[in-house]
Order: sequence, then C-alpha cells, then structure tokens
Amino acid sequence: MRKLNSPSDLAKFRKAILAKKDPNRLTIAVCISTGCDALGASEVLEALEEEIKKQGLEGKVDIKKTGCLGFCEQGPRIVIYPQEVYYYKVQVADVPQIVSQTLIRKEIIDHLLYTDSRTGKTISKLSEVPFYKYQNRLLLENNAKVDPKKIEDYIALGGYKALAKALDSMTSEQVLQEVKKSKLRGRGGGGFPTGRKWESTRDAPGDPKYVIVNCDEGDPGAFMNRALMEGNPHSILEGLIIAAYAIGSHEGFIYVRQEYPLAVENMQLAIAQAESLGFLGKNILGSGFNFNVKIHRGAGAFVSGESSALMSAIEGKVGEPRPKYVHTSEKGIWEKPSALNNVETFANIPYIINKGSEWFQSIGTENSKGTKIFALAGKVNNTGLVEVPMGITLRDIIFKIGGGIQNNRKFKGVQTGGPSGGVIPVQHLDSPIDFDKLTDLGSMMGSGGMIVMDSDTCMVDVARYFVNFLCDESCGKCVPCREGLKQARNILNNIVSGKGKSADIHTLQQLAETLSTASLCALGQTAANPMLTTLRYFKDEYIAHIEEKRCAALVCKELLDFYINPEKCSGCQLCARSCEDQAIEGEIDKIHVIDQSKCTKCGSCFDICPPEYAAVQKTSGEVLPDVVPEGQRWMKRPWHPAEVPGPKKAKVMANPDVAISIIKSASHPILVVGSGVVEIEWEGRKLIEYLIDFVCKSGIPVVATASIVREFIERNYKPAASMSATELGSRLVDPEWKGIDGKGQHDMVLFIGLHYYMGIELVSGLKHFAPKLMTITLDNMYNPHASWSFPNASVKELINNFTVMISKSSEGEP
Amino acid sequence: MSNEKMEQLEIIDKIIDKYVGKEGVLIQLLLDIQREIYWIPKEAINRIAERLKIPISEVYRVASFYTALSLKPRGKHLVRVCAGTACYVRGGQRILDKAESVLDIEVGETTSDAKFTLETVNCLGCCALGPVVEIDGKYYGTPAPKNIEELIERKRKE
Repeated sequence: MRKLNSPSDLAKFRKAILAKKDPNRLTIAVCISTGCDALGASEVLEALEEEIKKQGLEGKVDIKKTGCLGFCEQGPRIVIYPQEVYYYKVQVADVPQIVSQTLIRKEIIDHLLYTDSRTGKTISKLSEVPFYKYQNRLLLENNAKVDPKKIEDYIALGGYKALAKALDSMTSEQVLQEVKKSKLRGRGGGGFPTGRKWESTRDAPGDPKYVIVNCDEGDPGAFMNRALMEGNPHSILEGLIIAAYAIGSHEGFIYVRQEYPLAVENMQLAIAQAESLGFLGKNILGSGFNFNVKIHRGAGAFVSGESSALMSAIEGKVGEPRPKYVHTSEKGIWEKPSALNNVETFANIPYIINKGSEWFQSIGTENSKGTKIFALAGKVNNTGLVEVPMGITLRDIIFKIGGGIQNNRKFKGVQTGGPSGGVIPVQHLDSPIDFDKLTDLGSMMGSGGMIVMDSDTCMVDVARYFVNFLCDESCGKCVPCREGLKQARNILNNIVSGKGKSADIHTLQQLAETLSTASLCALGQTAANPMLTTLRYFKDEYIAHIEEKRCAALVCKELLDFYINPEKCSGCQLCARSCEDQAIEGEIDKIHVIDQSKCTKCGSCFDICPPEYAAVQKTSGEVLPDVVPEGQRWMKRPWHPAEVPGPKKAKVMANPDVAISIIKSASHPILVVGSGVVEIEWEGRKLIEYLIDFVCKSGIPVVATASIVREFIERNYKPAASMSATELGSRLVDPEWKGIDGKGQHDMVLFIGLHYYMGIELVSGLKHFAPKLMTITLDNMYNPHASWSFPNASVKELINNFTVMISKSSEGEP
Repeated sequence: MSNEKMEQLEIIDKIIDKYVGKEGVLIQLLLDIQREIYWIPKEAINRIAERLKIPISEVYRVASFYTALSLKPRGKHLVRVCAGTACYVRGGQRILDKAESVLDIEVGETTSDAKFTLETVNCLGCCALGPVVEIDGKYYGTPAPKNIEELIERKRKE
C-alpha cells in the first residue's frame, strides 16, 4: 500500500475505493465474531464459499466477513445485500438452498427469517427486527458494514476523515476543546469527563506522555469492547491517534485481555495497515505529527482494569493499583503523564470531530451525553449488545428491545455495572438511566453490563456470587478489601447454606461501609455495592434465609428439599435411575420415594422427571408431606395409553369461525380441560379465564382433569365432572357409558390444556376405538389424531381464537 | 536433564531472545511461554531472571499473580467453563459440576492421565450464549449439562 501524505491523498484514495465498489453488488455478510463462531459460523462460511463455486457464482458474489452485530444468540447470522435479507440460526445444511434460492432466484426462504414473537410475523430486513429497530446504533452501526481485516472498508465509510480534519484544520487545542465541549464522559465505568482528563495529561509536566486504550474488559457480562475491537478496530485506532494529537503524545498502548484472541489479532492487523498507509508512524498525513502504538496483552486479572494497575501491568509488573492521591494523568506509566480511556470512549471521538460537539450534545441527558452500549444478558428473550441514547428507561431496554423475560416469568431485578454494580428492582424500571441516575439507585454504569434476573434468581446468592468473585480478584494490597471481602464471603456462604445468624445483616452492613470508605482503589470502594443494593431492595430474602432457612427462588442448594408427589408419580423409574446416591426407592408402576437421609440435593431427579408428570417437587423451608407407606405404593392402572398412528390425520380448522360452526353441529359435547390452561397467560389473564367465558356462554359442560378442578372453583366455576384423562378415555370408548350427565354417550369431545404427550396418546386411542366420536383439539399445537385441530399458533392467536369463539357462541348454543 | 526438558529450555530461550534488552516485557514473555508449553516451569522462571537480570522473586510474583499463567503443568486439553455473571445466572455452575463429575477432578486440577485440565474463566465475552465452555481455544455455547459430557467424551477419543 502506498503511504498517504496529505488529507487530499486520503480523499483520492477513498474515491478510488468507492469507484471500485458497486453498491448493488450481491454481497453476503457473515458474522464471524467469537459469539457466532461458537455457534458454527466458520463452518457456514466455508460451506457458502464452496457452494458458490459449485453453483457457478464465483466472482459474482462478494463474501464479507464481519464483526459482531450484537444479537449473538441468533447466530450464525448472515445478511444478503443489497436487499438486506437477514437470515438467522443458519446451519450448513441451509447453505445450498440459500445459494440457489436467494442468491440466484432472489427468493426469500421463509424458515430462515426472524419471527417476531409478539406479532407472529416474519421479518426479512435486518433493520426491521425489533431488537435493532429501537436502538440508536452509532458506534456499532459499522460493524455490519466493514470487514475488520480490511482498512479499505473503513475508509470507504469515511474512516480517518476525522483524523485528517483534526490534523489539517484544527490545532491540538481546538481538538481538546471540542471533546471537552461535547461533555463526553469515560465509558469504562467512572464516567470522568474525557476532555478534562486529556487536559490534565497535556498540562502535566513530563515527557514523553502516553495514551492508552483500555480493553481489559474484565467485567463478566460485558462484551461491547470485544465487539468493537474485533469488529471495527480502525474506529478505535482513529480515536486514539486524535487523542494523542490533542494531548501531544507520541506513544500509545492498547491493552487487550488475552481472553480475546480475535480482538488482539484484528487490532494487530489494523495497526500494520494504518502504519503502511501513514496513519501511524512519522509525519502522519503530512502534518508533521508522529505517533506509534503497541499492543499489550493482559494476563487475566480483574483488578488490572483499574487505571493505575493497568499501567503497572504495561510496565511488566504485577497489576496492582496504587493510591490515587497522585493522578495517573499526571504520573502514570513510568511516572510519566498518561491518559487512559476505554475502547468505547475512543470510538466516540471520530464522530465528535466529524460532526461537532453540538451534534453530540443533542443526544442523551443533561449530564450524560451520547449513546451507551449495554450488554444485555441473563433471563431476557433477546440477549446481545444494545446501543441506546443515555436517558432511555430500563423498561425500554428490557421489554422493548430485549423482548421481555424468558418463559414469561416475572422480572425481579437487573444487575448493572459489573461485579461492583448493584441490582435495581422492579420499582425503578421506569427510571431514565444515565451515569448519575444509576449511582443514585445504588448501582453504577460500570462498563455497561446489564444482567436481567427473574423470579428464579436468589438475590442473596447473587450477592454471594459477586463478593466471591471480587474476593478472588482482590489483589490483597490493602486490608479493608482483602480481609473485609473475605469476612463478607464467609458470612454470605453461611447464610446461603442455612447457617446464618440474626446479627449477620448488621455485620454485612458495617463491613460494606468500611470497604467503601477505606479501600485503596475503586475495586474495593465499590465492592460493597452488590451487598448494599440487595440489602436495600431485597432484605426480606436475607431474613427468609436466616430466620426461616428458606430460599424462595429455590436456588440455595443446602436449603432445598426434594420429594415425590405420590399423586403425580407415574412409576417410570427415570428419577431412580438418574440418582447417583441411590436415594430413590421405586419400581415400575410403584410410587417412588426419596430417602431424605441419602439425598444430596443434586436435583437430577427434578431435572429428569418428565414435565407431563412433574412429580418431583422442589421446596425450601417447608415441612415435607408424609411418605406413602410401603404397602400402599403399588399403582392400579386401567390401561396404558399408546399412540397408534393409523391412516387418518386431523383436518385443520383454519380459523375460529370454522371451529365454532363445527362445535355447533354437536348434540351432546363435553370439554376436557388439562392443567395447561393455567400456564398460558395473555395480557394479565390466564387462558382458563378466557375458557370460563367460553363455556359460560356456550353452555358446554367441563370435565376437569387432575388438579385443575381447584383452579376452576377458585374462579367461581364448578366443572360438571372431574376425572383423570386416562379414566375419561376408557369411558369414552365404552358404548354403555351414560355420559357425565347420564344422558348417554357423547358425540363430541373438545380438548384443551392436556400435556401434548398425553393428548396425543389419548386422542389417538379415541380415533381407533371410538370411531363415531368426533374429537377436537383447541390448543395452539396441532394434534394429528383429532378429527379437527387448530394448527400450530402463537399464544396471541390462541387467545384470539377464544375471543372470536366467545363472541360467536351466543347464538343458538348446543 | 532429560531430553524433553532440554527441548523445553530451548523453546524458552528462543522466546526470551525476542525480549532481551527491552523494558516492561515480563508479562508478554510469560504469556508467550504459557502459549508454547502450556505452563510456566520453575526452569523458565530461573532462566528469565538470569537473562533479563531481574530478581527471581519478581518473576515469580508476576507468574503467580495472573490467572492466565499456570505454575502447574496442564493437561493436553484445556476445558474452561465460563463463570461470568451471565453464564452463572443461566446455569453455568451446573455445567461446571457436570464437568467435574465427568472428569472426576475439581476445578484447577488435571486428570491423572494428563489429558484434561479443568479451569474456570471469569468471562469469555460471549455472554449472550451463556453458559459458555471453551475447549482448546474453541468456544461452545452449551445449553445443557449433558452436552458438556458429549464434548468431553469426543475429545477423550481424539
């Protein structure tokens, strides 16, 4: 590559790149960052390259290997331009079809498209996917557009223009003032104003001065730095060079943790490319400014992300922090003035120089400007990197972008700011978040980790987890952090294992205070946050652990009990065989019993018990029911259900109107209801409530199976009968049975909410042995053995079916 | 000295060659040795101290401080279970328990046949895929404990 000697050289070079690029050229962008690669992106890429050759498209399609697009769980992911067709969870087996159908015939393959879980509709364009639609992607935007290994891609998008502008038409003072005016605050956690930091380094006596990129992203749960460094390394490099110019530094370091090998690789390559084009080295773009940069790999120590510790690590020493009365901006690496900023901070700089501080100030809140990338993880539907303007509410992030909590569970809290952050509970969901608001709530911005927790998360255990982490990572230099965390860990370990004492809460609070006032560095000062916020918002959980030995989230192993509900046990032996401690007695067709003296509470019986039985129960702090005496454990079985396929298959009721007219044709119907109707919820109402409306209006008698009868009675509705599904099956095939009302055998049975497994067997039996009976399944899962069945559908469609059926049942019910 | 040890020292010497006379290189040097021979033997520490003219205690202090550097030999395959927060709330601990029982060792140990070493790592930055396991540098987004068993068995047969 030829060295560029002036801003006009850069402009010409850019023009030449653009002239060669055809915006309408067929391009497949494949994300090959660490996340997608873990899901098999490399294999998909290889298959694509091969298939394109095989189908004769070589030279007609570009394959672009891009960095992280942030929606990692959906990987491997590809985007086909110019149409911007977005396919997710692509497997090697899909590749031939993608090439022949989408690349050659320009047709979209439906099953690879993203489906919006709320509307049930498929979305073909990347930017229309809700996860992206509600974001404000500034720094991450280009990750989808550039191949991180090609500097030309970055330049084509206007890369290094800001550097040229700064060097050519601005003095270093002007650059510094612009950054200061933008009110950009450090994205690494502290939120210190970047411009002021640069100024104090520039003004400090001593030469040389150093600038450093901190990519020691040690906060578990945060990975935006990895994504930026892997996916768009030149944007960070450009920001760094501009910073060096503003400060008057000629030597820089990029500190990357060794756990990110791809980030190191891409940055190394970016530096080499920037050197050969003259963005680094002597006389950059003909301006007379010199700057060189080196990569330093971190060796795995959380505390080394602290600025003074990181600088010791660059010197090759143990990465321990030192007292902060001397600022590192004045005396940093080798006692020289050093400005250290986070990866994301540097990535903002080219934008501020290009578009000006006023533009930057227009985004965000009064004291926190710009966007922030959050790493959304934990028990949320859409996990990944989310870039939003400062001041957005937690609710928007978690529910609008994140798509809500997994499995429709209840939101409990969100942990922000990494291990030294805190947990924010449900009552603050609508707080607009920025640096200051998060601190007010007892947490902090940190590097932007955001871990969502649901009702299955125990907050005492979460506090213990973080304290344990920080205790391991404490460097041991100062007493409050080294000893204080150790004591806190002991106390928390006691509480989660049922050995907590009433005084523990008070002791924890005292330890927390000492930690935050007397520790040497930010690690120790903030280490108390996980304890303090959980004590502030979830104190009742601590009390339940200590006083009642009860863990409501059923997490703390030593406070758990497992037992087998004799009414639900099917005598299948699965649990007994999975138990490594031989703590379960039982034989086929015999109620199983756990021997509590042998049980180690490993939970493998609970995991393996099939959901249609759900006989193994997990409890905490409750008195266990008496076990069934040995002599009474054998089960009586009328018949074993079996599925017999046969030549007939259910016809599909395409809409609720069809269903209602079929139902109206019956003269003596019943509706059989299983426990599934309380598991489905829509807009705050359970399916059973819609169902009650339906039966009240249509007058169809209800047969409740298993425990569901109680649910009906609680809602002031008395079912006509209650019996097990198997028993009902036996009666329906008996021509002599007089029906639940004594008026003779039924001619139609409607089913809803039976476990799918059970429903299939039962309806299969009726198909073969009660040929005159019409069976209809109203669930949102197709049941092939029924006479009529609804097709597979979303919960929304299921509810819609009922709403329509309720409204149409009034006229002339059976 | 056994042949194996001699070879190891040669590798170590070659790595040190790249850094002699430079400032602040200790961590980078140790990382290179770790990458080549998978641990930091006593001989390496002595050799570095001797050739870079720094006290043995300082080399040892750095080598023992960082988690990426191992002062014990590692097995042929390195299994690292992510213990980061996102992986933890999604059941990372159960993956770890399973790995411990499949390999019959505890975290930080190496199997007696020197085939596997089991470690935890604080965060691999794949938080959206949690719980994540890394085996010999390759990342696996592992949704269930039984998958880790399969992965380990596959490696065992290699």
